[in-house]
Amino acid sequence: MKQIAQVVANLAAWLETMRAAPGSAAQGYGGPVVHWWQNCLSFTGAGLDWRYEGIISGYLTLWQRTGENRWLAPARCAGDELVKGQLPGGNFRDSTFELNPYPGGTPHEAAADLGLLRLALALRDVGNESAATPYAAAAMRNLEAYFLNRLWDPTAQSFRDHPDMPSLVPNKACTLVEALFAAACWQGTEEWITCYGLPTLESVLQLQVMAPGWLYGAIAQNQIRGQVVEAYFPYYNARCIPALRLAYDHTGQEHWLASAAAALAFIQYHLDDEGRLPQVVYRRDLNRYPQWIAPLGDVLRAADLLAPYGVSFTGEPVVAALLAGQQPGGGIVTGRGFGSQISQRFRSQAEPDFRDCIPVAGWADKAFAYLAGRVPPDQPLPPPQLQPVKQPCRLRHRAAIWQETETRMSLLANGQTLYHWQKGQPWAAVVAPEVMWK
Amino acid sequence: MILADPLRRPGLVYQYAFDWLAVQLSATSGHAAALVSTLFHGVELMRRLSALPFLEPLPPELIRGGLALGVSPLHTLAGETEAAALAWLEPRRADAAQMPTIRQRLQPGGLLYLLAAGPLARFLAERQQNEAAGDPWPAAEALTTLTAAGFRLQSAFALHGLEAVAWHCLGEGCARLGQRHWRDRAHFAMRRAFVTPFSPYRPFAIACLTLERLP
Repeated sequence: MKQIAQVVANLAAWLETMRAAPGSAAQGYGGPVVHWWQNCLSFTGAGLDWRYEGIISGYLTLWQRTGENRWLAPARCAGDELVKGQLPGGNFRDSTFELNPYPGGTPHEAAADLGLLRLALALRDVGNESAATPYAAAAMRNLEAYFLNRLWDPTAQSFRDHPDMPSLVPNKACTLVEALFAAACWQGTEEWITCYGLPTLESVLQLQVMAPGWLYGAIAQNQIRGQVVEAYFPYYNARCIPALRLAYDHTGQEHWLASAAAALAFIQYHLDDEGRLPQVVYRRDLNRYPQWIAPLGDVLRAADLLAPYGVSFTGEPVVAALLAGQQPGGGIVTGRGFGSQISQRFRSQAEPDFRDCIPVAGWADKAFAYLAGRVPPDQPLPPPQLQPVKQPCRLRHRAAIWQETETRMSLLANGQTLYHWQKGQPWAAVVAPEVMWK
Repeated sequence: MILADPLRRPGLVYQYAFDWLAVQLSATSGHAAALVSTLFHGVELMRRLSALPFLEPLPPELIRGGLALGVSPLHTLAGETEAAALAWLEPRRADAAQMPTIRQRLQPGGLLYLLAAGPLARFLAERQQNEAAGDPWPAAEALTTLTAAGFRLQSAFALHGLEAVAWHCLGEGCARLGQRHWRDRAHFAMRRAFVTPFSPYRPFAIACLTLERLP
């Protein structure tokens, strides 16, 4: 197994290959997106979404952990991109990840705010308040104009997922609560925590299953017009844990920690021997595929947050699954089994679906943020070692080849280019109809 | 109304259609421009290609919509410039009269990317809310007229045909029976079938046609 420092060096170098071309209108980290809900393969421009949480956090961690000042620059550059990409109404341009190109992404804008606030707090900690202020100001403006003014539901005492629809999506609400805690830290006032954060988390607890069984600890995916959607995503449960821990730290009330520990127990229960999780667990069934790989960074981060409180988690297989997902190009693949999303039958020996080969900035950032915290302290990272990727795969039962270099991603079959993205460009150059797959 | 709220997204059919146009137009060497029939189409193109010129001067509402999206005001394709590619978004029957203009503004060998309504378009939310064109020029009719006027069909596909509709209905049935896991799988089957070969004799919501202007 490669050393963590080399993995992180390669991943950081890969992330930088995903940046928009110098001089282009919208600067930032771009590339195709694959996801459970929807893919976004045509739009490849900079997405000012949750990738910025992990990217900024990862670079800040490297800066603080290695003692190398060179890692602060990309964190600040990412913060500058968010500030420049803020729209007149406070939202961020192209912030909806798999739904891009649209603003108003949830939890994406809250996650971007969290990245900005972490950056601002880190700069203030070293006495550079003037540099920190624009980042914090952009985050506060987004939080106030969008989340507090448009998505807060005073009747439900929680945040909606859409201004016009009574709804609650726990993992998104929890990311937002994390941002509110960071904002409170910046402002030095608890108002947003007590008025918005804690009431929202109380609503989240209403959606957690505490009865014994295979759903013990699971938090439902969402509630729409009062109706609970009984789909339980282990990954999204992991995204709820940091906010629950913050609530415990803030109030000292045991039920927050118990909720976080139960959510982690649900994840542990469904973890297989290879360190992978099913995608969705329902009351009596599950849809296992695709299984996340790069996003496992968030699962490990959640487990680490609870470890000091004696909440145990068997993380070694998860770390192994995460590291095994790194390609020679430095990116970490998003998941495996995208081609099994319908049949839910998967053969690990067979050539993968082409989407299993695609590393995505907005998933790899989760691995980056976690792994950056595992590099040996006070040591510089080694130089990156990137190689081209050439992976046989399948596209709708057709044999194909996925290729990635530092300048492009492409999919070929029978000598024909079916997909081509020149890195840095806001749109893929070629998207054949069979690859047009949202 | 989509212009009043920059956060609103169109449905899946239009997301596919507009993304397809964006890929084609951004890959064009030479001038590209668009002709839109509604503000809805204009805003969606502007979100994707903020520097894309339009063939006709734009109404002030569209320019205001662009500013709300953080996009600079739009401009029109200069004077007698011949475009290497034109996008024509859901023309209405009455817009057929613009065909000579389109032919004139497109260089010989240039490509016309046409979004044309199919029989199922009337079920789209955007159509029911009068955001997309009323009285659309049906794809089959548009194709016949354009080929007679010196355009050659180069490639075509359709969005949201019968197979996708069937999977969608099956999924909703599963959801009503409380079979959420089957509903999700049917939903992904619907998405897999979303892009389908174009045939004027089969139902679909929107056709994406590429036509070459013959000399």
